[in-house]
Amino acid sequence: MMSSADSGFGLVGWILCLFTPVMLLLGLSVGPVPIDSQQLLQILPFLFTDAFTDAFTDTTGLDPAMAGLHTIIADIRLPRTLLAWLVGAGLAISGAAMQGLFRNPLADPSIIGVTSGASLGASVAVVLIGGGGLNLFTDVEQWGGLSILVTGAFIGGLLAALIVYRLSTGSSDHLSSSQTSVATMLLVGIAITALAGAGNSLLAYMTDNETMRRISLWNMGGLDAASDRRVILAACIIIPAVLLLMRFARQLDAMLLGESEARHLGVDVQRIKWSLVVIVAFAVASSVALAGVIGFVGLVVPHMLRMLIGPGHRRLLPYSALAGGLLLVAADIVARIVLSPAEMPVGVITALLGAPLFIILLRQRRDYGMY
Amino acid sequence: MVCINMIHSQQSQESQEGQESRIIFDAVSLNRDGVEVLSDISLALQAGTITALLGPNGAGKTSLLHCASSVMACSRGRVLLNGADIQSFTPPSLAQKVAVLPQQSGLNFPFVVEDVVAMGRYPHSDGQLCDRAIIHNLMDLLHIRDLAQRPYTALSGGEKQRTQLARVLSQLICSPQLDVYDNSVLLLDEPIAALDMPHQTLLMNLLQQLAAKGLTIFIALHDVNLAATYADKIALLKAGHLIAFDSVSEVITEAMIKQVYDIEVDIIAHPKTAKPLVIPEV
Repeated sequence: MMSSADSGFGLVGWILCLFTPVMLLLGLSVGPVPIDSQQLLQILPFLFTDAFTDAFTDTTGLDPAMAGLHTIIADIRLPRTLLAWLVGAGLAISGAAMQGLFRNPLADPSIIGVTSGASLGASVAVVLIGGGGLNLFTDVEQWGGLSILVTGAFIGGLLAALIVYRLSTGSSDHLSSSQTSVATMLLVGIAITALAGAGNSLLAYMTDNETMRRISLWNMGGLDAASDRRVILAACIIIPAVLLLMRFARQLDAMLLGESEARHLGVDVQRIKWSLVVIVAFAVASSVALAGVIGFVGLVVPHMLRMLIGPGHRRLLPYSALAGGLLLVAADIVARIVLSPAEMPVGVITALLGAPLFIILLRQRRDYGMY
Repeated sequence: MVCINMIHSQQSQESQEGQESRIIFDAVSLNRDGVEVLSDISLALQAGTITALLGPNGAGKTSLLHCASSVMACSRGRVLLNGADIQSFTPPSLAQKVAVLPQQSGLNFPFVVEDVVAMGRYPHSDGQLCDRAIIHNLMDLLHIRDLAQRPYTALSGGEKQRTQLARVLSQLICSPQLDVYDNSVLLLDEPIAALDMPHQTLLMNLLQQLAAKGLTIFIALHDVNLAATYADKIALLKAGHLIAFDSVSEVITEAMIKQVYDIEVDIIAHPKTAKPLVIPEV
């Protein structure tokens, strides 16, 4: 690819790169106990010295007065900020990839039901782990428990994505397959969300209080449950997913021309579809399993970026990951300070941002030739 | 079998003369939703020629092009590209030989014109400078250079069509001098519908130029006179059957037009080219 608007890393990219460390540091310093930049600089060197054996908690050599602040950062804010960053990046790039696949700027994982499917899968996993009588693992927070949670969410998210894609695009040998039906896509999303909601309620009704509490957590978006393990697990899934998705930039550009046009340009459409759906399901599932249902990030971020840099995926995909991480860290900061010392679920903030934009996009859908 | 043998012997004869068949439809039939939309069609597209595909609405022109571009697999028979079954090509290897312009385009995202045209270079990697020169040359030729940085979604129908044409042509052209890749084929489905008269002529002349460089062109048209002026051969389709496949003077006759389109026409010789000119009776 060699076009003018698509070569190299542009201004917007550098700005996003520049803001990322700033926002991450802000995420560490803002909260009920404010930590200023000087204190932060003193504590930072001690955060990563022994990250893997006793994650984030080596305080030897630190001023005892600072040890308390160190604990706040190491145990609470660092995992939380990193989880927000990873999940935001994963959700935003997933949104960008799904929109390319569906040729439709409304195809956010939370709107078309992938997120709901994943949350139902996660709920089923919670019940299997805890109250379902199987008692596979005593604690969800163990590696095994978290892995089962992610696996459950993955299966749920993958099924939802496949159902939506199958129903909203024509069968492959039909002429109209070059267009996805927006109405069908949104309606199938509603149906899957309703189904998943019913499934979640049913599970909550059938199990004990502890399991019910956990299930309700997924529907709110809970970065407060962040832990070292969750961050590491999220990193192990989301970072590879982001890197893999970025490799599909050229194919996604071609897909926007239409499915058959993409095939005429040499894109193995069937393989691309499957790869994208599986990778996106993994990224969304891990974020739902580890940080709860956080909607609209995948809608807001790619949309704003398209207005700045155009629809080319060579830039849109990496920029979405960067900006998504930024947005969710910022949203989490806001969620922490608005009702301080109490907290808002971060999903509320992203929904407040995303829902109005979704309505605006619906009104403009004629610009995208969608009905 | 007789038919297949005939085509094969024809092909070997031609390759001796340096005139080989680029695409061969070998007794192609196609069923869709239980309806036979193409029945037993055999024809061979000669390398470096323009073959026009004519026929009334619903005759199966688009379906035949779909078979040639391997979008649809034939129900019976097969399509050969350079001697090999077209279904045996992988998408990337097929894209290096065959470019296709569909009737409609579903691009709803605001790519700028230059980026859309540049997508035609995806199947090849000849280096950025070469790609850019090819794209710019095509945009000049099709009068869309001024629109290079305009979003595709803001263009008029004719401008969109010329952008898509430039994209499809850039897939087969390997130098700014309009040299084409060896053994390549261009399939066009109603490319001139949205174009004004000067651009129709411009496009057809450009296609003739490319055919002279060795490009094989198969083009579905509604304008019989345009086909008669520019095509080397004409294939006439009616209700999925191949009615005629021959040179222009053999196919464009009053009887043939009456048989296929069911209208009375007068045919006179073009005052300059002496090609047949079809005038519908009033």
